[in-house]
Amino acid sequence: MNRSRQAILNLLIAFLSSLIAGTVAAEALPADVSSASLVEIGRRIYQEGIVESGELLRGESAAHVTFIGKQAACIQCHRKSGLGTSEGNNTVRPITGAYLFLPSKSDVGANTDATGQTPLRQRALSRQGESRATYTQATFARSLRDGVNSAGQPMDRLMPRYALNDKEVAALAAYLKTLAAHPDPGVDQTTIHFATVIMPGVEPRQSQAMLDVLKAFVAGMNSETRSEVRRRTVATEPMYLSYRKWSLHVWTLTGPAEGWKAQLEQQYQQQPVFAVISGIGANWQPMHEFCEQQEIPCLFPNSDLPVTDGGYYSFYFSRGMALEAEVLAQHLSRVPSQREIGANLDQKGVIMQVFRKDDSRGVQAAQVFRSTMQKSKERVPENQTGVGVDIVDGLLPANLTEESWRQMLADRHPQTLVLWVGKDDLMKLGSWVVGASAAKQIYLSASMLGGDIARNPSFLGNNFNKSLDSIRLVYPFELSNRKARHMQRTRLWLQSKNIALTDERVQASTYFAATVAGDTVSHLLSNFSRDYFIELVEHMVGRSLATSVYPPLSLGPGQRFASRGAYLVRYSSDPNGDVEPVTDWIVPD
Amino acid sequence: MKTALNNRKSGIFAWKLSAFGLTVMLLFGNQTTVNAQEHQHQHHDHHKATPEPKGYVSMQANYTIPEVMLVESDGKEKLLSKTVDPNKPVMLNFIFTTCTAICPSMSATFAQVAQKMDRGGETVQLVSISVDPEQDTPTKLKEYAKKFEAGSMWRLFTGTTANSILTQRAFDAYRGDKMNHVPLTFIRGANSVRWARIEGIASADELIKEYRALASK
Repeated sequence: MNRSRQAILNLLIAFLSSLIAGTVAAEALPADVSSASLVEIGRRIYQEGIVESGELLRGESAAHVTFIGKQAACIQCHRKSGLGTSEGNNTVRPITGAYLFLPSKSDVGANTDATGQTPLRQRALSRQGESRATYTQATFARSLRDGVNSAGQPMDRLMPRYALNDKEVAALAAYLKTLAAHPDPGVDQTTIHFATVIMPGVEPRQSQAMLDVLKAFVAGMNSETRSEVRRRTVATEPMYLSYRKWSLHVWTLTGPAEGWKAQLEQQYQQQPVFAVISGIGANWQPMHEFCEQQEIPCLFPNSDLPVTDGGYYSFYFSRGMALEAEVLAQHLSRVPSQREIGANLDQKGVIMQVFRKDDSRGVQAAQVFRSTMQKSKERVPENQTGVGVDIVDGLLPANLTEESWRQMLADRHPQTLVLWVGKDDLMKLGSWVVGASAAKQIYLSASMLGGDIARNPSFLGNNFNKSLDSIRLVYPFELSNRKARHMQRTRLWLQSKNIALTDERVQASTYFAATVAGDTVSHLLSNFSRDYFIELVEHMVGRSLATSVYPPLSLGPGQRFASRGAYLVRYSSDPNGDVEPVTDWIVPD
Repeated sequence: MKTALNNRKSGIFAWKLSAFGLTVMLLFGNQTTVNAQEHQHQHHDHHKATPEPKGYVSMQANYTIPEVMLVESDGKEKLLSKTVDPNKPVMLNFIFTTCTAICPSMSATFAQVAQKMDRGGETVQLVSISVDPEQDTPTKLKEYAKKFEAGSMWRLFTGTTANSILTQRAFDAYRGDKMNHVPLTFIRGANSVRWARIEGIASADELIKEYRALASK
C-alpha cells in the first residue's frame, strides 16, 4: 500500500518536473484532471485493459489479430514492471516513462538525482547503433494509434494499434512515468540488502546448514566480484551497473506464529531488504503473507508447506505436501494395469492415512489426498481403479505404543496405509507397520522423512526383505543417478568454501536460491525494480546453471512453482543401493 | 532483413536439415559476426536492440510427424502420428499457455483460421503442441482453448517433457528453454510429407494463402 502511495507521489513530482522541463506536452489535458486520477486511468488501461468509459480496451495488431480487454492490456507483453521482456528473437521493449520520455544520450551514465539515488535511466538506448528518439506526446500517441515509433519506423507486428483518445494517451503516459521511477527499498548506491528467515521449530543442524551456504555465498559476492564494479560487460550489457555490496540480514522468528507478522515488520522497518533469499520453516503461510503485503520477492524457501493458491512475490521449488498428496492420488486413481508394472494392485478396501494432528505437513497432505481422491472417483468409477473410496484418518496418539497402533488397525482393517509421518514416528512404527498390519501397500512421503531415509530404511529392521514389495515412497526429487551429476556443481562449491555436506537438500536448495538471486541481480543493470526482478527470475530459473535436488527446474511468466511432479519409488533390494522408480514422473492435472 | 522478407514469396526450397540453418542465415545474414560473449548471452535478447522481425518467412521442408504419445486436452493419451489424420491437411504450431507475447497472437490467429475455413466449408486440422508440458496440464490447455474460442477443428496437446521435445525436434523447432521459442507454423497438405515452414507472425489470411499455395501443388 505504501508503495502505491509513494508511486503516486513520485508521479506528481515527475509530472510537475516534466511540465517544467517541457519534455512532455500536457496540452491535451483538460484542466480539471488531477494527475492522481489520470494515473489511475492509465493504470487501468495498462494493467486491466479497461478504458476510462469502463469499456474494454481493443487493439488490432498488424497480423490482424484483435485483442480485447486483458488480452489487449499493455501488461500482457510489457509486464508489470514496464521494462519489457523477450521471447526467442522477439523483443518486447521497455516502456517506462524514463525510457520513453527522457533524452537517451546519458543513459548509461551514473548521474544521480536529488535523493542521491542512481536514476533509473534504464538500459542503454543506443546499443548496436540503433537509437530511438525521445517520445513526445504526439509521437507517443502516434505509436499507440498507428504503430509508428518515435523514429518514424513501423513497430513490431505483435504491437497492437489502439484507438485511444487524447486523455487516455495522456493517462497512459502519466502511468508509465510511475513505473520503476525510483529504486525499490533495500538498495542504495553501494549496498543491496537481503534477508533470510528462520522459523521456530527448525532443527538447528538444518538452519545452520542454510546459513553456512548463504553466508559463504554473500562473502563470495562481495569479494570475487570486485572487478564487476568497473568492467564486467557481457555482449552489450554493462553488467557492472547492478553491482552492489551484498548485505545479508538473518530474521530469526520466535514464539507462536501469531506474533511473527509483527516481528517481520519490525525487522523490515529497521532495515528494508530488496528480496528474501531462501529461509527455513515448516509453515510458510505467515512469511508468504508478509512477502505479498510488502511486495518483496521471496525466493525458494526450504519449506514443505508453501502457499499454493496464488501469490505474486513468492517463488517455491514445488507445491510441497499438496503436490505429493496429489501425485499419490493420481497414481492410485490410475487403472491397476497402468499403475505399476508387475505389481499386485487389485486390492480394494480401506485406505488409512496416518498423521499427527500437530504436524501441519501431514494434516495438509491428508486433506489434499482425500479431496483429490474424491474428485478422481467422480471421474473414474471404483471398479476401474481397483482402490476403495473408503479413506479413513489414523491420528497418531501423543504417546504412540505398539498396542495403540494395533488398536488403530484392528478398528478399520486398512488394505492401504498412507503414512504422512516424519522420521521419528517412522522409526517407532518401523517393524510394526509391516509386521502387524495386513496392509498390502504402504506409502511414505520422502520429503517428510528427510534425505537419509531413502538410502537407509533401517526402520524396517528384520522386515526389510519382506517389505520391499509393499513399501513405496512418493519421491518429488531427481533420481539418484541423474542427481549425482547435477549435484556435482553444488558439491564442488561447498568443498571450495570448506562447508561439509550435512544436509544435501537444504544446502543444494539454498545454494540454488542464492545463485538465482545473484544471476538475477546482475541482469537488473540499474533497474532496481522488484517487479522486474520477479520477471527476470521467471526467465532465469529455466536457464540457470544452478542445479538442485529436483529434476531441471523451470518457470515462465506468472509461474511460481519450479518443479511439478514426483515419482513413486521403492527401496532397492541391494542394501547399498538407492531407491528405484516404479512409475514415470507423475504430474498431477 | 529486407532481402529475406522480399524473398518470402519466391518459395525458397530447403530440405529438413538445412531448413533451420537457412532461416538463421536469412534472418541474421547481416550479422554474420557473433562474438563469443554475445553467443553465450543470446538468451538475453531483450537487453539488446535487435532488429525486430517483421512479417514472416516461408520455406518448404520434409518433416514426419513422430511416433510419440501425447496427451490431448481431453486428458487422453494419443499417438500423434495416428491422431493427426494423414489424409487431411494440417496446420501445426508450438505454444505454451503462460507465454505473454508470441503465443496469444499465434493462438488468436489459429482461431481465426478455423473460423474462416469453417465459413468457407473447408476442413483443416489445427494442432498446437505445448513446449511447457508439465505446466500446461490437459486442464490448463482446455481453459486456454476456451479463452481463444478454439472450435472443434483445433486440438491442443501436452505430454511428457521428453515427448514434447521429440516432437519439437522432428520439426526443427526445439530451442532449449521455452522462453527461447520462436513463432513457427507448419502447414501440410493431405497425404504429404512436404510442409511449409512459416517463421514469424503471419495473419490468418496469410496462413490460408500459404495453405492454398501448398494444396494447389
